[in-house]
Amino acid sequence: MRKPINSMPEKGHTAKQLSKAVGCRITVGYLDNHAMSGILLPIEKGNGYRYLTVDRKGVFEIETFDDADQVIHIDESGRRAVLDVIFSSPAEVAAKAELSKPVPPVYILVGGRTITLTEKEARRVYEFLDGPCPLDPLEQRMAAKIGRGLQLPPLPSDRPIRGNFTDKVSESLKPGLTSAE
Amino acid sequence: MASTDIDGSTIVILSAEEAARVYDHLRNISADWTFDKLDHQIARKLSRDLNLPPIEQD
Repeated sequence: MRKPINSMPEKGHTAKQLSKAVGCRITVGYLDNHAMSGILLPIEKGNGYRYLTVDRKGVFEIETFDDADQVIHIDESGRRAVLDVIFSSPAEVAAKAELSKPVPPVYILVGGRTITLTEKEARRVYEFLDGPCPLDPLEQRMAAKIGRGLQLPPLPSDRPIRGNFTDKVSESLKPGLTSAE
Repeated sequence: MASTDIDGSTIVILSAEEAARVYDHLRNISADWTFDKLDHQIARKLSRDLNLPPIEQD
């Protein structure tokens, strides 16, 4: 029997809302480790949660946390596809076997500070990024993220770097001629 | 798919590193640029959430 898919919480960034996110794909950021994605599951007893993830070799793993401060992101887009994987045999068997194991009393602090911007705020930040200066990799990532989220056209990442040298070269070229000429 | 708030409005989630970059940008332009209401709102949110000093404007 398939586990019913819970309705997706539109805002699932705090521990109080985690119960609504059971069955959803989440990405959890740790203070002392890289972020991990998985399907949020309740623990067998108590009020904690754990999530099912896969390691680099594709093997199912259970990660446990409780008293979560923050879940960085709950991603609806991959939910159904990943659930289909989990609830298909033999992955389902593997998942159930993992779930039947006792949860070790390990406390993992979930942190990874994030800042949520409203659409208007994000649009203003996007305008900041759309300035004359070339973007560094962090700014490029941010521009791509905001552009994707707000469905805005991507900013040109290959803006020419304007400076004295290029300006002088441009000025030295007569109209109608190219540098090769 | 865009992230949405509980009321269905679109939101964008920045990492602390990204938010700090925006904070730096606002701080750098604060001397030459008069913030409007939205700029102030972003500056307040970033300084509060990142535990950084507020960006003052004369």
